[in-house]
Amino acid sequence: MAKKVLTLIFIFTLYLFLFSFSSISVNVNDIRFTGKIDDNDIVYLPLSEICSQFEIRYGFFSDTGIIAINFGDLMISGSVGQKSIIINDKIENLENSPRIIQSEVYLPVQFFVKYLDLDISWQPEDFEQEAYIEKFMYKNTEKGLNIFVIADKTFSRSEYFLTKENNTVIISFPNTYIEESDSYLHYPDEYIEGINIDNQDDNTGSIIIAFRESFDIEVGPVVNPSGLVISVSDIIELEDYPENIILSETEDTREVEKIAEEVPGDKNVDDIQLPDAADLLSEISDISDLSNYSDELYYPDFRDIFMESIDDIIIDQSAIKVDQDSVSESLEGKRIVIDAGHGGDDAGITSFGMYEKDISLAIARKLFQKFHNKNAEPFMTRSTNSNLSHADRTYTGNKERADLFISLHTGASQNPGASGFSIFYYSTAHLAEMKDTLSKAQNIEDEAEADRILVELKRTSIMEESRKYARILSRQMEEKTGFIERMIFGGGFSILRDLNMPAVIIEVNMLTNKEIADLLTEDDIQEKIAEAIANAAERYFVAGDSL
Amino acid sequence: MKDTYGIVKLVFKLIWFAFMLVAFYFLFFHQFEEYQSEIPDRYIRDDSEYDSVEMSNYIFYYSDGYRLIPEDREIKIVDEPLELAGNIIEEYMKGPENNDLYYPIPKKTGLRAFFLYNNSLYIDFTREFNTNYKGGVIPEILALYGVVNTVTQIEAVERVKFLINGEDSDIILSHLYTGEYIYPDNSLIHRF
Repeated sequence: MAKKVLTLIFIFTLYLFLFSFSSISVNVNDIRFTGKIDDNDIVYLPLSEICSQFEIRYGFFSDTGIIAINFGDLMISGSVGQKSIIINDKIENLENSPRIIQSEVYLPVQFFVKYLDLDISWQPEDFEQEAYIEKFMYKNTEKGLNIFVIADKTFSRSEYFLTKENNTVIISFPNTYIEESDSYLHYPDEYIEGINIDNQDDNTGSIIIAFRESFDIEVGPVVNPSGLVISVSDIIELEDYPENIILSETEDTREVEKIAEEVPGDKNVDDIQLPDAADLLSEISDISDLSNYSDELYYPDFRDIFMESIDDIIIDQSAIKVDQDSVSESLEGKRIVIDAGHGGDDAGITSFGMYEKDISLAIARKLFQKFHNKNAEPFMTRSTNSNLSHADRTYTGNKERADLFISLHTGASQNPGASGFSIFYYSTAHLAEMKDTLSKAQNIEDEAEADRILVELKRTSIMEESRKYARILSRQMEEKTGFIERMIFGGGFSILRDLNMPAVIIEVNMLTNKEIADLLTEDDIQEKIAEAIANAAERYFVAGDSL
Repeated sequence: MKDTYGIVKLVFKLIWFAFMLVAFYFLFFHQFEEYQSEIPDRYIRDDSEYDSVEMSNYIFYYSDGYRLIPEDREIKIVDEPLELAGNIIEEYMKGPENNDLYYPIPKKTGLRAFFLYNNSLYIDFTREFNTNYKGGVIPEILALYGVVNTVTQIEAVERVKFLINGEDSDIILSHLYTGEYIYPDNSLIHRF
């Protein structure tokens, strides 16, 4: 009898001992729960605890093993040990079946995310090593495509969490930081529609991959290179990729095609061979030496090549069909440079699948036409999805002897509900240095110092003019678009500091607000923004609006 | 033979019982010793040794998503400006106490070093300051000026120069020129 009791106690102790090691802390909507990991590293969460916490109605019939859950409009029923579940009369399959562990019903975490709309994150202390994801690599295989998530360690199955919804796959990595890399922007278009990465507060990095079709996707660890492999199987035969493509080396032409479609007028833009200014720029080893103050410091050969390319772009843009009836001569002779912010591999703010570079370019094209209608001479720093340095943009402004320089951007805020536009101009905010300069101006002996003071005074004059335009623009934006002004700020902006004309950066609204982000993609609001900017220029130059 | 078998059984029972006792002890009763610091007492700073610790209110500038919002915080006053700057930066990097405010510095940014030279405070952040920046002029302005407006309350600090991983860069985020010193700008502070 004693032996039996001892044996039972031993087994019970061993049972407790083993299960204390297979538990894992999981945060569900920021509330901590204890989950279980099975032999295959699948994480399960207790149904009763979660349903009680989030007031979800549920039932479990121990005699038949049937589970019933009522969540909002969803009626979900399933059974312990069965992968199939019935959701509102439709049968769906779970990757892993519900289980009974220690007389409690446990369901796999995927179930809670997919059907009960709960956010899952992991307690970082449960993982020994902090991981770091560097980049993606893409390799074509016989079946389709392998996406290698290159990291400093190999992820076991318990160290990532996979959710599939329609054609989108979300892989979350607890206690992992995902490096921003170009490889997320350059992916094979045939398979992937878009990739987003998100490093969240709770140290969980997420990779969101939107596939073009509903491919068969398998995820698993990979040792060399270390990380994770996402295997995409496709029945359709696709063109072969060269082996070991690092996609940062491939060209992303989708944006160019998209922009080409947006060009107004009846000219077939696909036929236009737009020179790539960025390629020409890359021939110069040290672009930062480009001065925008003096022509003497330009690289003459480079300047010619570069400006030829700009001229070509302008000619192409002039071919845009202009409605002659609406042409007024209000801005005749005024040279205005429109700078669409970011571009190429610099997407700017990426939010809700939208890129700042696309929205700024779309508004820039509309603004180009507005200025054209007003008989001004507009120029664009870029008309394609190309990345220009600040020096290149400034160069265009100064070379064209522009009367006004407008840099178009979208805004961002940590507050997801934030909205409104902001305007920025260059200001010599370092007042202490200015005071020094002005005090020295009383007794000038050094000629170079005198020149420097003249430049400072010129800058001050430009600053005043820029501020004046900013205020007119703010009023026009409020009138035309109904957006609220959030900030007019003068500071040391890199792109504006070397410009020799009044210049502003305008962030037309916050891309981090979902409603606003959707709005900014609409033609109507883009037209209104362009109209506000053009009208402000008209008032600034012609009406002599004084503010 | 039977007796020998009985002794063997008894020995096994005793071993079994001893094992169970040890297992129970470790599972339910044993408290693992906490790590004992071996740092000599003289190196451990004890604030109670000081007669009085002078605290003073400093205004920390965090963000509401649009502008800088002041928050009063108590800081231990020290004579050495660099040490005071260290106290302020360390406290600032703990983030706002008001849950409605945002910590404007990009996530996971660490402080590598700081030093004072010629009334300029050089602050060297880790590379996360750049890599975790998500874009936008306002977040950039608030990240930089939140720090600048806070630390320039120290009399000996007039301006700030930002470094990333020990390197001086013309543009450490995206839009603002950081090749020169940044002076505080009160126009960014929200006026209630």
